[in-house]
This record gives sequence, structure tokens and C-alpha cells, in this order.
Amino acid sequence: MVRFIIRRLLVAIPTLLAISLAIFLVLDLAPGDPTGNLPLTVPPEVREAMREAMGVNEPIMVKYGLWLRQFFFIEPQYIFEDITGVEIFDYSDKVNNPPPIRILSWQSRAPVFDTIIERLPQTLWVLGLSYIFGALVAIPLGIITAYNQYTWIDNVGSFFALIGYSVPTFVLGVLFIYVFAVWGGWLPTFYDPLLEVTSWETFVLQIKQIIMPVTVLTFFNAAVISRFMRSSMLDNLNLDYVRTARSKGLTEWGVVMVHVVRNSLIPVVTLLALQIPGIFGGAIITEQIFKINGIGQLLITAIQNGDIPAVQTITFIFAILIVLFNIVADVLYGILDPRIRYD
Amino acid sequence: MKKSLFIVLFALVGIMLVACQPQVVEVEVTRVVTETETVVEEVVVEVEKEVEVIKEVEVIQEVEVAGGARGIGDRLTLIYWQAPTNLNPYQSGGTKEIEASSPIIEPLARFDETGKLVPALAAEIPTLANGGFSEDLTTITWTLKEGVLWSDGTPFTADDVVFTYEYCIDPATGCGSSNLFEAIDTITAVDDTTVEIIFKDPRPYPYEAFVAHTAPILQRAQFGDCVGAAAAQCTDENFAPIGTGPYVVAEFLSNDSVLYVPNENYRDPNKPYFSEVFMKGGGSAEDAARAVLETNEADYAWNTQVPPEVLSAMELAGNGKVLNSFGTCVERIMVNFTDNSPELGDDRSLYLDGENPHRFLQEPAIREALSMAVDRGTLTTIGYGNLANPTCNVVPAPSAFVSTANNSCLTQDIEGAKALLDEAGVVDGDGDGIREYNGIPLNILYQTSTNAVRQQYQALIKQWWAEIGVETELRNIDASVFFGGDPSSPDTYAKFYADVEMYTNCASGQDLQGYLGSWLPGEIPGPDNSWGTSNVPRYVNDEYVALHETLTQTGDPDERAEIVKQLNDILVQDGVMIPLTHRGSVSASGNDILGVRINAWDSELWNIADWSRAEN
Amino acid sequence: MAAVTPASLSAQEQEDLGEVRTLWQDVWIQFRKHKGAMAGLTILTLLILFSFVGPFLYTVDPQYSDLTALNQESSLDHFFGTDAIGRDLFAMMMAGGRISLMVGFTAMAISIVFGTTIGILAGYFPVLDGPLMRITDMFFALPILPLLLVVTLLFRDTLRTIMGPELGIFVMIVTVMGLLSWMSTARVVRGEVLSVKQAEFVTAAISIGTKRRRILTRHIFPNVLGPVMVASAVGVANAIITESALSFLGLGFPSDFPTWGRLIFEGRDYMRLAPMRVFWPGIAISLTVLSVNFIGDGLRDALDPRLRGK
Repeated sequence: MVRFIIRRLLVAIPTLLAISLAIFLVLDLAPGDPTGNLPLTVPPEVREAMREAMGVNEPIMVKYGLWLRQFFFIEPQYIFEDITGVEIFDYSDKVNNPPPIRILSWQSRAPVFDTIIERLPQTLWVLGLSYIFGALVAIPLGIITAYNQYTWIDNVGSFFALIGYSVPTFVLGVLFIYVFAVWGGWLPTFYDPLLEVTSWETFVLQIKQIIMPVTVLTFFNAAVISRFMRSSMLDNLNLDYVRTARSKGLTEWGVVMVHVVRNSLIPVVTLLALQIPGIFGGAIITEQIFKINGIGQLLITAIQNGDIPAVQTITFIFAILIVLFNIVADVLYGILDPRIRYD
Repeated sequence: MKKSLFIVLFALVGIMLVACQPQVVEVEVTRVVTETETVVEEVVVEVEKEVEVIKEVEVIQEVEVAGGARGIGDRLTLIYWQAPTNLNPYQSGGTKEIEASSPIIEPLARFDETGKLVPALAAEIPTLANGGFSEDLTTITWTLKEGVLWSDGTPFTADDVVFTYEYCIDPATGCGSSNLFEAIDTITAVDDTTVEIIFKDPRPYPYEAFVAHTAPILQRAQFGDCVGAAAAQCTDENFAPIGTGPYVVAEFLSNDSVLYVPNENYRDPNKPYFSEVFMKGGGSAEDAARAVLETNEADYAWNTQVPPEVLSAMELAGNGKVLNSFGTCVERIMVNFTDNSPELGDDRSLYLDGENPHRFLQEPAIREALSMAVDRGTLTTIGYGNLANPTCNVVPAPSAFVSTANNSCLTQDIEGAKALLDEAGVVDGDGDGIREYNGIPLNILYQTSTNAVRQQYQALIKQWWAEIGVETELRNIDASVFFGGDPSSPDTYAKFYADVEMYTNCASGQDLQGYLGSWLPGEIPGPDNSWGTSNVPRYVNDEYVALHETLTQTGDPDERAEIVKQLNDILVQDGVMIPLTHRGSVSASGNDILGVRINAWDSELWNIADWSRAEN
Repeated sequence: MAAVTPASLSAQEQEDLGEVRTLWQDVWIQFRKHKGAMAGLTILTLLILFSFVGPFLYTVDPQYSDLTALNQESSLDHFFGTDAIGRDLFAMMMAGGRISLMVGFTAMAISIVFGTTIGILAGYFPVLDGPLMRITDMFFALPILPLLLVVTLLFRDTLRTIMGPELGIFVMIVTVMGLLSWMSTARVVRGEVLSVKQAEFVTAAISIGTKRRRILTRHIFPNVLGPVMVASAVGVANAIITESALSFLGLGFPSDFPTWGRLIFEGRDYMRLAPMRVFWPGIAISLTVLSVNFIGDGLRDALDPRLRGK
């Protein structure tokens, strides 16, 4: 198993390098300009000087090489410094002996990683909660609808799952805002990232500002997961071992809950792991609608402002996540399903 | 079962958050409010009377005895839907960063909402009259206020002013306002409170460096190590500049929110009123307007440029009001004087010493007819409601500089335009409904940036031009490309691969001389300057050049105003551009916020020290 | 052979015969029994008629702005009212539906053609299997939505300049979506090909000397059609949602293209004054996706031999 993981990780490295180069080339071809959104009162010469200072005009391969070095060598060292407090770099003389430059956003001229780390918790909270709630709703729903296949219970359950799957999150989100925040006035429309939960009141406020995005995403996640669960259950319910279990005289509850559900959960759990990078995509839209300062929103503003280093870094992190969770899914499958052995 | 899990999970979330955050000590201030309310209002009145600043400072010092009114208010919530990415305006050049930094760092002098210069860190405005500005127009001497402290408690001195110049003028800093400092030859700190600036050439209008929100003073002690290439390493400094303004940064989340708290060393001990100011970004202009006007979540929303009928419907909710104020911004159509035919290849839209005239827009009658056919009133009402005005001028403000010679264009005249074209021999020869000029049909490619209002303008103007026999093809380009400076992109406004294009432009502050200098022949964009100059119409007129030269030699304000009007009239009457709408800044403010004076010449938060909340 | 049960024998017979006539008839019979799928098919047909035939009956130009009728409510003149510059929303809904549906189906077609080709090649030729699946894995690792956002925003103007306003943007969005979504089809098809290749009828065909191309077109292709059809239904639904999400973020089609997503984006400002401006396109997107998903469900059930005859 360990050897399998190591091999997968080693194979992932060239893949990721190829992806990073592809993303870099695509972005370099783009006609955007990081100073394009400045007021017209800023004269072109000044813009040119600013672009020069950002390093926009460097040749592509120089930029790519620098970025690779920053992403894989410099940033990890800074993160190490951040976590341990040990100073690797010399900060005593910033002018004559500056520490190595990190990946800087063209918008804020600040390290992209700092902004990402600052924004990660918001994204993780919303996504994590909606994923957990989604699974909690979906798995029982999948079991019930599959067990009662083609009855009215199944029809109603599957219909709602399909609706959750078909109504785009942005339509639902806009609807929620207007019903609960504007028309009803019960919930805030802006998310306050500086809110500190110190008392019951602030706790309630925190719930109020997070409940809409979490609900919208939960709805979608539940729909997706319950469809997985249902079809996985259906695959298992017709198999021989179920018949064997029944013929052994087990109670129906025992047959379904112990045997079928456990076996059906194996592919669902792997699918859950595979889906995780995908739901980061969903975060882009939800964060934009509910004004949450997460990673997705950062990506959108970066794209709109031609902030190539930020776009490059965030997209690449998404790619790493996908590769990583693919491996996790495979490993989970190996652990859960005794028929599969990795050697 | 599911429900209880839900609650347990949230409780867990809560416990973890509590564990992570330090306790905030709340200060009870309710009883002081009544007393200080009057004080604050007094000061506002004082400022409005525009008494001399030195007196004002004395008044304020008297108030101090009356007792600490600083920070007695609650939280002021501002929505800046385009959120600031950092708080050092020199590192960004963008309006949102300049706005967000203005409660923290200050210039020597500011513009008030009427466009008049008022001192900020300077003791007074140096003028020809008070001798602060030399008769030969080359030397300006700023005297600073005594006893001003930085928010870290150290004294603010003339040396910091000199430093700001050094910081911004270094090309490797990538300073977004370096153009404001370029005219300076030498700058010296004569003593702690005197700065002497000598310009390279005579400058009749010397109020650019260290004036207004685009050129505030940075502290040498903080930014000393951040000059030149080292500027990129100064994230901590850029995210929390030390300033002299009423507020300091408590927390900053790039591209999302800023939390300000009062500056304990602010020069007026009774200000600012609010105990914290929270600036939140995200969403759209409409979300921002709604948060103030309808849901009452916020107190002030910046740049709430939404469809007028939507805004007025929101205003009916009664929580706040829409404010607007006018600078020099005019939405206009620029006319291309050079030929942009694709067949020309690399010579498209190049001036080529006058060898590449436009196929038909060289004909003055056509340019005039295009202008006459437009109903500016309808356009403006549809696009902006009563928050903007139709205009026929390139220079629509300040009032002393506004020409009245062109106001006839405010009435649409389709028939007149047709007659004009007929008279000039531009008629529809082949009966296809489109007029020809020397056999060339009047097909116009009309480009602008992607923006709902601009596309509304395009659609309407296309219909009107069709009525006078001009066919129009519309094109819109994403703003970041259109206004971008990529010399390899064919779609920038400076490349101008179209017959006409539409955008808004404004003078930088009140520098009308520099603004009108945009349309001099030396400013024609082309490959030699990477399309980096401002004479976008490729306009050449010797009369205009001579008149502008006179302007640069003239010091007398009245004479200057007269010349500006004449320059404006040449641009408009010669059809170089078709001004459409005088746009203002639009913002929304809660009803209970006092002291807001929306300002198009400076930051909207220029007087945030004076803001307070009315008692219920 | 002795272990063959009567049931599977009859299934085998059925399939052999189905190759000539009854397989797709059988699928259709199964499909018709699926109420959701039939409802989906009806709704989708209605939406297609609305978007493509509607303009011939309701001849208002969606681009024309009637300055005398700005921001109108629903009326007999304008069924869904007008927008801020007096464009007819009903006409815009039809025009938008055309674009949205075309985007959905074209992007799906591209991704299916691509995915099927790669899947068949990888499954049938062992030499190609390794490299092709490596490429598929790499594409799987691409973050689709972020990349789509980046690519569309950054390149739409360049393409518009090259190919003209209508075609350029359409081609780009469709190609990008197609090229970023073929991977799962390729995997499914490859799996199917691998298993069909082992089936007795293929072995038999090879043993009597049938040409490779004939085996591919006659034996393998029909067998992978089933999973491909299910994949295409999902593909259409995903493409329509993705396109409208892009437009909703203001990053997809530019403002003069009234796609359904774009109409929601522009109607949002008017949500309070005229909620129907968001409601109608929202309903349209949801209904389309719902019906396509139902059709996909129906197809899957109909194509699943284990469910047949129930």
C-alpha cells in the first residue's frame, strides 16, 4: 500500500508540472493588463513603470522559472518559518540583503499565499459544513429511495434529488437572498469575516451569516450524493449475497443496514473523496453571491483584474487538490474493498 | 436526529471559534453621547464656514477641555463593493485603494466638495497672494501644521514630505502617482515645518504633488526601507501604513475588508467619533446600495452606480439617501481622425504625419451631424436618471471654467443633421438607406467597454444614427482589455481600431492644463510610444496648440479660465469628441450619519473625521 | 459452456437479434415506461420549439429597443415585459434559449466525439492505451471551472475580433467546454470496449477474419452507444449549467447576448422591481437541465439489461 501511494505520488509530479506549464502558457497568451482597471487619470507612462515593477514584461520562461522556484522552494520555507517561528532568512538588512521574493499578487503586491491562507478558513467552513450536512441528508435518502424503488417514496425522493441537481446554485442563491435577506430581512446579505464569536449573540450572528450559503450548497451536495447512494444501493440489492443473507434468516433491517448499506457505501465514500475538488468549483459561485471572502472569490477578482500570479497559483492549487484527492480515493477504495489489493 | 447533529456541529464550530479569539473588552459610553453630539456638530458648522485653519485648530483645542469625544460612537459600516487590495495608494493607483487609505494617511492639502483647496497637513495653502508661490511660478513653499503626530506618536516633519517624493519618484518602486511628482526639480526640508519645492519649468498650477487623495504623505521611519525594488517586500507596511489621519488600521483582509480604529494621536482630540469603522467589500453596486438603503446593514456605500429606477425604488424604503457630486468626468464619443481600415494592416489608425486621414470622418459636416443626431437628455435619463447631466462640454466643471457656447447641442436635431449632410453633398446615392461620402458608405464601427449603461447608449445611438443614414456596427470589449496598455492587443482604446469609441475620462484633480494637453499633436499614440499617449482621436490643430501654449504661460486665474473655455470650444465645435453625459460620483448614506459631504475632487472619505451618528 | 443458464442464454439470443432490429426498439419501449423521462422529453421538445420555432411566430426583434416602452410589466404587447432600454424580454428569452441550448448540445457533441474516439482507440489498441489514459488523467486533474473562467474571460475578445461577434464567442465557449469535459466519456467507453473485446461474438468475428475497421464499426461502436447516450444527457445538462454560471458571473457571453444566465445576471438589479426578469430565465434553465437529466435517467434504466423486463 505504501509503495502504491509513493508510486502514485511520483507519477503525479510530471503531471502537475505539465499542468502548471499549460496554465502558465494559457495565461501568458491572454491579452489582459493588470493596470487596465486603473482610472484613466493614471497616465500610460506610469502604468508602464508599474507593470515593469511587477515584472509583467519579463520573458515567459523567466517568469515561469521564477514562479516554479517560488512555489516549490521559497514559499514552503516561508510557511515553515510561519509555523515554527524559526527564521531561515536574514531580515536584518532589507535594502542591501533582501530575503527572497515570494509570489506576489499584482493587485495587492502582497504574497498570494498569505491571502490564500487568510481566506482558506471561510471556504473550508462553508464547504465542509455543506458537505457534511449534504452527506447526512443524502445517505439516508439514498437508502430509502433505493429500498423502495419505483414506489411513490422513491419517486418523490428521486424527484427532489433531481431538482436539487438541476436548479443551479446561483438561481437558488439569488432566490434565498431575496426571500430571507431582502424581503424578510432576517439574514444579512454581507458576510463579516472579522466577526469574532465571543458570546451567544455573536454565535447567533455567525450562524445567521453562514446559514444561507451552507444551505444552498447542502441542497446541491445532498442531491448529488443521494443519487450516487441510490444507484450504488440498487447495484447491491440484486446481488447474490443479499439473497444468501435473507435465506439465512436475518431480519430485513439487518440485511439492508449491515450488508447492503456497508457494501454500497464503499464506492460512495470514494466518490465523496473524488468530488471534493469539484465542490471548490461550487464555492466560486456561492462565495460570489454571498460575498464571502474565500478562495473562489479571490480567484474571480484576480481574473477580473488580470492578476496572473494569483490566478496561476490558485488554479495550480486546485490541480494539486484534484490529484491528491484522486489518490486518496484510490487508497480509500483499497482499504474499504477487500477485493482490491495494490502492489 | 439530524437536527440535533446540526446543532451539535454548530456548537462545535462556535466553541472552536471562541477558543481561537481573544476576548474583546466592551466600553460603555452611552452617557457621554448627548454631550459630545453638540460638540461634533459645532465643529462641522465651523468647517462649513471655512474659517481660517489656524483658528479652527484653536477652536478644536478649546473643545478638548470639554472632554474626550474621541471614539464614543459605535461601529460605522462602509460598503466598498470593489474592495481595496492594499492600503498604500502608491502601490496600486486604483481608486478603491486610494479611498480606503484616505482615513489613514493625509496629503498637505485637500479639495473640499466644492473643489476648493483646503489645508490638511499644511498650515495654509501657498498662493501668489500670500507669497507661498513665487511670482516666476517655479517655487512653492509649504508650511506644515505645528505639533502633528504620526499614529505611532512620533512627530510628523518636513522630512517625511521629502521622503514621500523620494519614494514615489524612484522608478523601481512602481509608484502609481509618479506623474504628480515628475515636475519637481528639487525638494528640500528647510526646517521641520517648511518644505520648499522648485519645479523644472514654470508651473502655473502647482497643486499636484502632496495635494489630494492621490498624493498623501508616507512616514520615512516606516517606509524608509521600502524604496525602489524593495517596495515589493513591504507587505506589512503596505497593509498598515502609519498615518496622521483620524483612523488607523486594526485589521486588514486584502480584497475584502478593513477595520479601522481611532488614531490616539490624531491632532483633534475630539475626533473621530466612531469607535470603529468597518469597510466591507464584495458583491455588486446594487448589493451595496441595497445594504444601505433597504436592509440597513451598512451606513455608507460607495459608488452605487445602478440603474436609476432601481436606486429610487430603494430610496423609498426610507433608510437612507442617495448622494452625488460632480467632478470633471464626461462620458464622450471620441472620433477617429485616422483611417482604421483593416486592409491597412499595421498602419491602421496611425497618424503617419497626416498621410492617413479617415475615409469620411475628416469631413466636419459628418462629425457635426453625428453629434446633432444624439439626444443627450434621453441617454442620460435612461442611463443615470437624475444623477448625471447631459453636457456639450469636455470641461464640465468647475463652474468658472465651463463654456456656454455649445449648449444648443442639448436638443436633438435629426432633421438639422440630415439637412447638414445633404448640404455637404453626403447623400444616399445608391438608395440603400446609407449615405455616401465620395462614394464611401458611412459605416461606423463604434466600440466601447463592456458595461450595461454603455451598451444602452450604444443601442440608442445606433438607432438615431440609422435615422440620419449612418450605419453602425457595435462592438464592446472587456474593460480590462479595452483600458489596458498591452501594446500587442488590438482592442485597447489607444489603438483605436474603430471609427468612434466611447468612454469616460476626467481631469486629474483640477489640473485642466494637463487634461487639455492630452489633445496636443505630440500626444498621438503610435508604435514609437507603445500607444501610451493620450491624444486618442489623433487630432492636430495648430490653433489649439498655440492656445494651449498660452495657457501654460498664464498665471492669472481669470485669464486661465477664459483660455480653458476656448480650448474646450475648439474640441467640441471641431467635432474631435462628442460629449454626452457629465457623470458624477454616486454613493448612498444612511439617514442617521451626519457630516457626510460627498466629494468628487478628493476621496469620499476626505472628512471622515467629522462623521458622526445622529441620536435616535 | 455448460454453466450457461437458460436466462442468460435468452439474453444472449435477444442481443444477437437486437443487433438487427429489436435492441433499440426494446430500449424505446423501456424508455417510454419511465414517466420522468417521458415528461423530460416533452418539456425539452417544448423548450426547443419555443426557442427555435417561437421566433417565427413571435417576430419581435430581441435587439430592438423601444424607447417608448422601458421597464414594462408583462402585457399583451410584451408577454414578459421589457428591460431598461425597452428590449422585449419574451423575444430575448427565445433568443437566449437558442444560444443556451445550442451551447449545451454543441459542447456535448464535441466532448462526446472526442471522448468516444479516445475511449475506443485506447480500449481497442493496447499500444495507445497507456499514453491516452495518461493524457486523460492529466485532463482530469485540470480544475475545470477556474480554467473555463480564465480562458473565456481572457480570450473572448481576441476570438470575437477574429471570428466576428456571434461566432467567435460561441465557438470559444463551446470548444473550451467540450475539450474540458470529454474525460469521463473516454473512460467509460474504454471500459466498455475492453469488455466487449473479450466477448465471444468479437472473438468469433476475429477468428473468421473480419477486418479491424468492420469490427470497430459493426461490433464495438454499437455496444458503446448506450453508455455514450447516457453520458451525453449528463453532458448537455452540465454544459447548460456551466454556460449560465459563467454568464451569471458576467464572464461568459457579453451583454448583447441574452443567454438565460446573462438575463439573470442583468435582471438581478431589478429583482425587487420586476422579479419575473430573474424568475423566467431561472425556470427555463432549471427546466431544461431537469428534463435532460430525466431523459438521462430514463436512458440509463432502459439500457440496463438487469432492469429490463421489470
